[in-house]
Amino acid sequence: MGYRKHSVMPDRPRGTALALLLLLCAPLLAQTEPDTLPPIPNLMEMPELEKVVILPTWPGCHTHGDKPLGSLDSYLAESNSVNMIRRGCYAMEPMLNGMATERSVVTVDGMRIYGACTDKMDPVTSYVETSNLSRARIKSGSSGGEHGGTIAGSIDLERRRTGFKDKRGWGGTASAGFEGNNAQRIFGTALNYAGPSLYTDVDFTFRKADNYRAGHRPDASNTVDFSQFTKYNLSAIAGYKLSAGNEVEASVIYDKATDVGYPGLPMDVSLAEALIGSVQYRHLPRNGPVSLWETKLYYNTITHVMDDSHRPVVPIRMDMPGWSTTEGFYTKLYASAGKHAIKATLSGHRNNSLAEMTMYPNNPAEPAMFMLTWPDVRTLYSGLNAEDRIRFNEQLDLTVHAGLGIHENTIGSEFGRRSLELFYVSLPPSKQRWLPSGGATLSHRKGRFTHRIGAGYSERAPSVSEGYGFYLLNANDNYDYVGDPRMRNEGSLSAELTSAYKHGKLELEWSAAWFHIVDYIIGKPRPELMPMNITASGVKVFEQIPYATLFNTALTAAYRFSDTWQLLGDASWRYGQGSDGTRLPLIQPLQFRTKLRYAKKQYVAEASAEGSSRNRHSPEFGETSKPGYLIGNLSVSREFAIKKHRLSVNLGVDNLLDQYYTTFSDWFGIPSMGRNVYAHVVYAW
Amino acid sequence: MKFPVRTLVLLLGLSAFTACKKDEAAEPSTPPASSGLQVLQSATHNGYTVELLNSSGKLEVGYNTVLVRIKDANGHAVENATFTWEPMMTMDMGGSTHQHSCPYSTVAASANNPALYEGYVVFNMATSSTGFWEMTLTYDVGNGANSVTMPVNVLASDSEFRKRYTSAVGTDGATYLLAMVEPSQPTTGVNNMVVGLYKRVSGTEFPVVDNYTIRVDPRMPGMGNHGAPGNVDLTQGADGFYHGSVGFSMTGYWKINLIVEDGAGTALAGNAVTATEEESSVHFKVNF
Repeated sequence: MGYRKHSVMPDRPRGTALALLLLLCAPLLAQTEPDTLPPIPNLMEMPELEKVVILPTWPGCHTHGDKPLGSLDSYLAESNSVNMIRRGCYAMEPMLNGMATERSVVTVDGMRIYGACTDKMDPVTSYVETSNLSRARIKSGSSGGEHGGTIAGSIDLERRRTGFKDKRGWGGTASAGFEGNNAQRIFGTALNYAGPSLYTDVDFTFRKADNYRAGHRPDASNTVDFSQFTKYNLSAIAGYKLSAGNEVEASVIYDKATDVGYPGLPMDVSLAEALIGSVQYRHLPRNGPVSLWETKLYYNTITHVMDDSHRPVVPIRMDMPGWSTTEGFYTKLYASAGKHAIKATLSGHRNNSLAEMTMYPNNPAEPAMFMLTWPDVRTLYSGLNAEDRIRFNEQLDLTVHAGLGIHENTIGSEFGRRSLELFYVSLPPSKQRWLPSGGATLSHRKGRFTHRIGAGYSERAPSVSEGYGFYLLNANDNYDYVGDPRMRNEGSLSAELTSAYKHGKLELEWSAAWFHIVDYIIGKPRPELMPMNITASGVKVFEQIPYATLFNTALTAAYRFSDTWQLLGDASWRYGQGSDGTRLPLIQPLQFRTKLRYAKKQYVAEASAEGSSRNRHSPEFGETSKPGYLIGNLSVSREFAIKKHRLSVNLGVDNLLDQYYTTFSDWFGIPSMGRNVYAHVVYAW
Repeated sequence: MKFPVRTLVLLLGLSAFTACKKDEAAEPSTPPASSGLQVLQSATHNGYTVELLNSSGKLEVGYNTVLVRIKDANGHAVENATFTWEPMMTMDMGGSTHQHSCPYSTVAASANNPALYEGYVVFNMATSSTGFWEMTLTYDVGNGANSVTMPVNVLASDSEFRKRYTSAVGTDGATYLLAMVEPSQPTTGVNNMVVGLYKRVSGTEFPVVDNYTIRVDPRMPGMGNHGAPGNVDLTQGADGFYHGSVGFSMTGYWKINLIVEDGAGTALAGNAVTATEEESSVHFKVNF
């Protein structure tokens, strides 16, 4: 069901590259589909309302030509609605529709996870591995509110699971990779068992990299210091069929990164550790309108320790550990009746975020200084969200969605509450808010064209940092940021328009998304306040400007010359402006990618080029004008059949000409990676 | 709206996850004045024993709350007595002696214990090898005034990271004495600040200065002279002390820079902290 149809449907996901991945996977999926795919009725998939990034671990998808052992970050960046903010070579922060993580909701199989770092060094995506996941589902704008209030949308990282199979069997992979630029060593292994009433997947991945090198510059060192990392990731998932239509599943991910350098920040990380666990129950009635009822309980805990002990020169030594623990649940129901296909989700979670800072004065006799940068902020959220897709006929369907959440923040630490009272007199410890969302999308298909128009409204609560952050240094603009717990909700009115054309060998798609964000939350300087960090140039306090406008547009094209040759391209551009004349930070200029692909039998070869125009930088946020760039990449992969096993070998070079460049989302202006020659090998049985 | 929101949170199925709010540990309340007192010094005269007490059992340079108790020959505390007192420092000036006093209050019956009498003394110097303090108490228990003099030991309170008393010669030529009463237990956040401001008229006259303003600018020397918000300049209250507030954004060593201004807003002592002037000549230091 799902994916085969998905991939050949005219209303395929946006993003030609993504569609191609689907197409490539499709034949393989077709063989294994009856027993590997979760038995979700097709109507639930609603593919045109989300984008799907297929990860290389999706069963049988090793030959698609991309780096099979590439990072999750690199895969997410393939979607033209996602940019990655790069503070080093590790743990990039996904930006959805031109907005950073406070405006989106990133979940792992529907689980909310809050990073434990005040400086955004650990987005949720940094605690998983591609080997844990099968795909990323990206929903745009208010339609992404299933698990919390969002403006930009949501990214749900779906766990990889072999699923029940009629025939018992074991399978597994062993993989190894090497990337020349930063001597990244990648080792992974995965083992799975599947049978009619039991499945289990266990995988382990290890990555270790040295400092990376930027592109060539005459008379300049190109080594980017403090960009090394080491990551261990272990994941296990097991499902058991209690009876026909009743399944339970338990899942755990343990991720540990050590010695992670962040050249874009003044500090590194000595430890980032996450334990993510869940149990879920699925009920699949054979008859009646309800086709699936899924309930999950989850828990995750993160410890994040910043460390400056490797930096030779610092104004003051400091320790900055942070902790985040989240417990939550969701229960969701899929039902269909007549023209309606309904999904309803009730979800709730509770998070504690605590971060502290201890500074050791240069005068050893002087006592250490201590503050809470997140004052044990407790977030309690509960929300109900429903979506109904009404299929009027083959040509026309309408999807409506609505949700309402209750959100409460409480300051758990009296020490921290008193600290924030420096800024806000008589600060109450708690603040409650309602988070409504709603919207509709109309799709029309006729002949070669598919058109879609959607509109929505959603609200979000300020993030932990925006509400309660206490002197958080932003290295980009060199300001200390202080939160304001009294802020109103931020609300967004959005509209999306997509048109796709498909005829013969040509596919074209154009999309545009417009966000009018009311009470836009942004840091503004307060000259009367003195910075805390010694080198900071001032203090910014989060406040709300009347509104901001974000506009995203993208064009993708694919042309299939023949069964073996294909040309793909996409271009996208964003614009962001605040009502008071503020240029929003981290707004992507015109970016374009083009790829020529040759695929025949076991071979896939690709030549691609990607580039960008000069950014429209925001000096207010410390951004500098970055010149445009153009880089080229080559890769070739081959799959060998060894009896019933498969060996795939992928060789390639990124940034072939070793260009020196910096993108708009390279934090603190750190340069991007120079030439990188890599080899990835996967053996599957 | 708090109640219905919470109820709905529960109704929506979060009961299993409902935040269990830890009760914040109750702030330690100030102990009653009569308990936990330690005798600083005592003297017996005409069958009456006069005791000086406070909670720490020691006196130090700067502001000190001092309690007085008088017991009859049977050891019973006497109520309705009246007192005056005078602290006096005698200094050995290499052959000659020099005496001076310091700012101090009157002594009045304690509000919460009729057997105790209370006042304060702002010692402006520590006991040393070349100088000693004496307290002369004149008491009347209903049969006429009597005097008793007893030595007291005053410890230095200044250290690298602590200063609760300071003095300065103002631009008007007068010597000003400043003693910090609060914060006695500083914390992060906004702290009440109370300072006594006195002027030296003579060696034995240190009256309270009225209707001045003391500007407050807390800084962290170890943190690039970072300063916190939450400060309110000190103005005189009905009790004669100067009241305001001081903000600390973190624990550690803070220097509270001060400027003493007269009623017309003219700065008499202390200076503004700038990029080149790291501190005011008039300041206190706390460390917590």
